[in-house]
Amino acid sequence: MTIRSVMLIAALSPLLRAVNAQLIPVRTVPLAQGDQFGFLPSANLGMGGVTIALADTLLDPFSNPARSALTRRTMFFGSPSVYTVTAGGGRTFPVGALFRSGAWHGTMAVAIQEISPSHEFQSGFFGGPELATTSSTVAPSRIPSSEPQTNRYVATALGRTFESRGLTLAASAFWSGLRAVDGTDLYYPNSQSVLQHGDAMDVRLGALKRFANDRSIEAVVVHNRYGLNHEAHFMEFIWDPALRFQVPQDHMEAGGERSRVLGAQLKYEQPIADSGWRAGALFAANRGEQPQVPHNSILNVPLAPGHSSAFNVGVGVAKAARFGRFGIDAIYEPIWERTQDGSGVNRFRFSNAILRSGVSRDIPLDASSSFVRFQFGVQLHAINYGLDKHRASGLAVQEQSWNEWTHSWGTSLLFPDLQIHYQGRLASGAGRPALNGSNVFTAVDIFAPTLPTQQQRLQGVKVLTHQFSFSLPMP
Amino acid sequence: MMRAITAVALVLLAGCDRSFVADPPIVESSLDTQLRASFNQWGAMPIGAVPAQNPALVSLGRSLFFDKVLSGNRDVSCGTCHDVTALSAMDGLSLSVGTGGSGVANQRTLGTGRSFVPRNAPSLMNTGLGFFYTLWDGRVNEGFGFGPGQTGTFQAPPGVVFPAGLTNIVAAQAMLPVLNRVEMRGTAGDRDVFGNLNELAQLGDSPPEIWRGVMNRVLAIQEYASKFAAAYPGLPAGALGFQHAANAIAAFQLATFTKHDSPFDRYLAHDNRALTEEQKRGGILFFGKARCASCHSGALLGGQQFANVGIPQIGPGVGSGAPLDLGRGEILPKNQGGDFYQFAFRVPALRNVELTAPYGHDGAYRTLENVVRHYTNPDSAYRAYDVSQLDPELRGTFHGDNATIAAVMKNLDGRVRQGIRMTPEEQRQIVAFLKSLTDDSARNLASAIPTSVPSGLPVR
Repeated sequence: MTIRSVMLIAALSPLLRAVNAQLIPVRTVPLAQGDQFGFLPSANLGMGGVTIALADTLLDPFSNPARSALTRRTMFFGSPSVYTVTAGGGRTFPVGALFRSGAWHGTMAVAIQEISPSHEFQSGFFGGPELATTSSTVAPSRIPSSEPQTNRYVATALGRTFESRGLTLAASAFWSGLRAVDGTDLYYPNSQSVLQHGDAMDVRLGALKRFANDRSIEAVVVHNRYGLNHEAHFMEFIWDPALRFQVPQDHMEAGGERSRVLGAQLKYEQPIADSGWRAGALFAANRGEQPQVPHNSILNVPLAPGHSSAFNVGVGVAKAARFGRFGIDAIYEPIWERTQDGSGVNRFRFSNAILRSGVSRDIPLDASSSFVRFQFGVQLHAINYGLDKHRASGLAVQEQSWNEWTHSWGTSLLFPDLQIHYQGRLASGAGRPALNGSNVFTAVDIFAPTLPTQQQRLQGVKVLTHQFSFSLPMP
Repeated sequence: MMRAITAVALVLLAGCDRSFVADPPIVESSLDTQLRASFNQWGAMPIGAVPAQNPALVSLGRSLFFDKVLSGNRDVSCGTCHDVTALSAMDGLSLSVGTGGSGVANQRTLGTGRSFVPRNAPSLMNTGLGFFYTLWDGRVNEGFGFGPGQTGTFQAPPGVVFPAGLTNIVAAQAMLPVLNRVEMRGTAGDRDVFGNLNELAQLGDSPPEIWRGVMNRVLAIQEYASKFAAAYPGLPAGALGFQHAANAIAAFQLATFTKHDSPFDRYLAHDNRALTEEQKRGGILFFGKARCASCHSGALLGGQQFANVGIPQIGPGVGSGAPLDLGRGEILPKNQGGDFYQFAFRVPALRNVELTAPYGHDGAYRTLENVVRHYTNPDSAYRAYDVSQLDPELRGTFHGDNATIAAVMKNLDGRVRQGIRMTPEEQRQIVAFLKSLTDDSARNLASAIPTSVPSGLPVR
């Protein structure tokens, strides 16, 4: 899936649960992100997202458009998905088709998505967004309300297979009209609402070369562009000297994010003799630029415009038998990022690792060619970085590491003319700020020996995703 | 098959189990997040604009503010002690030198036989932002009504009844210096700078009589008569009282001395780059560990309450407590808080505090660094007080005897009684934060000084 990684350099970039590795997220803070972009159908998602040596017939065509060549026949799909995270969440309903006609093949998909704000906005002293004031110096105002917003997605791909050469070439485009990106409101603590408006475009060129003995090599080049404007509204108080009293007013803060990524991936797979096992290796490289970031760093990690170079080097093995599958991926992920703002230059050096493993078991239903499938998988994303902060006052070094776990499970009913899947994921290890602040005074024991500093620690957050999908092969 | 289904069900259950969920690491909040969260606790907020002032009133007030004709001996004006050239509308002296003195600003010296004004001249900066009290002991205060029509009732010091028609607390305060013999009026028998008998000093201590005497002087000058007519069109000269002059002085003060475009104010307006990292750390201490904000709270960062923080006693003293200064305890009856408020003074509002040295009700401390250090242990700071920071004429008036210190410490405010533990670096950070409260346009207000005043007396 493409869009889930468009904010790849942002501190709040979406948590990458993708089975593809073309786009590499750079995450500098362990902020949990809802699984907003994981809505396209997948056959393997319940297996921890294992991908290097194990094909995912439903999702792979969206990662590398050339892999739609592996679609045996035209197929319709739908995959309504729901995710929840703390006070927010969203639901998505994509429908689409994988089609094939002779040497031509491709994909089409559209999706409508509704996203709820990812934290409970401050209702304010007056309990509502409408601010009336008798102030002579402060104008009355009205704060836009915070409501669920709708995103729209359109994806299409077209490819052609040259059977004589075992070569497939394809191109794809994925456009997103965005009104809400989960977690954006975290940039604006205590805000009443954050209006968002933007879009993203992901364009890919893919190639797949199949050799004898079931070996294959594939390549993807991707250009990803993302832009989102923010308009955060705060209800805050201002002291009116004439009234000698505080009066509420709407404060609007404009911000936004812009990023561009150029990436490439090379992946090779082959069977291991006649053992039934397959092995694969991948190499991916991204060059990203983020000319605009939101103003606010809510955690003690600088958030500034910059650029990054990110790489994935991975190997995987998998075994696919008639009634079961198993796979494991191991990826090393070095990243270098440089950002700069008025306070100085920041250099991040990441040394991340990703481990995924999953199993699947098919159980025949009676003597027919129908099955029930169970899946279980787990992914560990270990993030570790050192940060050099070059300031006028000198060099400050900061280190940060954390582990994010994603447990996944799934079950499917596989009939010759219909497949129905349920897959779930539970991600943990990241958090969201526990906001202590509010817009009204809070009681403080002024005689206490020491007053607590207003620390904003992360509260553990579970991101729970449920995806129901069906695929319907055309006769 | 049942075994497989059971196994998967167990996996699903495990997914919901708490032990299956990893906790996030501890990540320190950004300085901005910490600082902004503390604003809500203490009511720090942006300040709106003061109402626009009538230009004619401001022009009149400007002349009156700098005109020495208001003083009995025609030798001091409001601007003498509230100097605007280099400081935040104060003279830079620990204790001010009133009528009979010579020199300007911090070069001013006592006249023969004169005594210091017993308290530090307060800064006039931002006095129009809506304070309920004014002066170090809060002896002028305004009714606590909120909103339109709820202002305009002012409580005066004992022996004074304010006339009707004062527009705000700044005007109410402006009624008082002309009554004070040390500050402006002079003592009976004084002769003015021209050698003429000071008729104001010859009057009794009836405020209405004194105010009328001052107005007689002022309205005898044609230019003032014109300025009053322009400021109060339709009001006959016979109906003009000193309250009209005070309102004009207040209008000038509000128009000229309202300065709150500091880096901190810009930070309050959501500009995270307005403060340096050191200032942000100082702010976090100010609103947190160092609990400065427990007194210097609210939109104005102080000014609305009283506290005895153990500032060393200096000077001639006030009233029944002399040679000590009991502060608010002097003006309140014992059964109405007089005991509780002994040695308590008005907590100053801190915007532009960098420009208002020396600090304390009697100007005991010359630097912000010394003030902040004082709070680490008020008792020992008092005992170790270094008189060399005072003007030579004041050094002998430091009250450092054990009895005085014990009396002051007995009533020390609970918020500072234990002392506030701060490392030297933390103290520097707090000072850096305090300096972020400075509006650069307040550093020199010399442009407010007129080249001449209607009386023809020298302005400086």
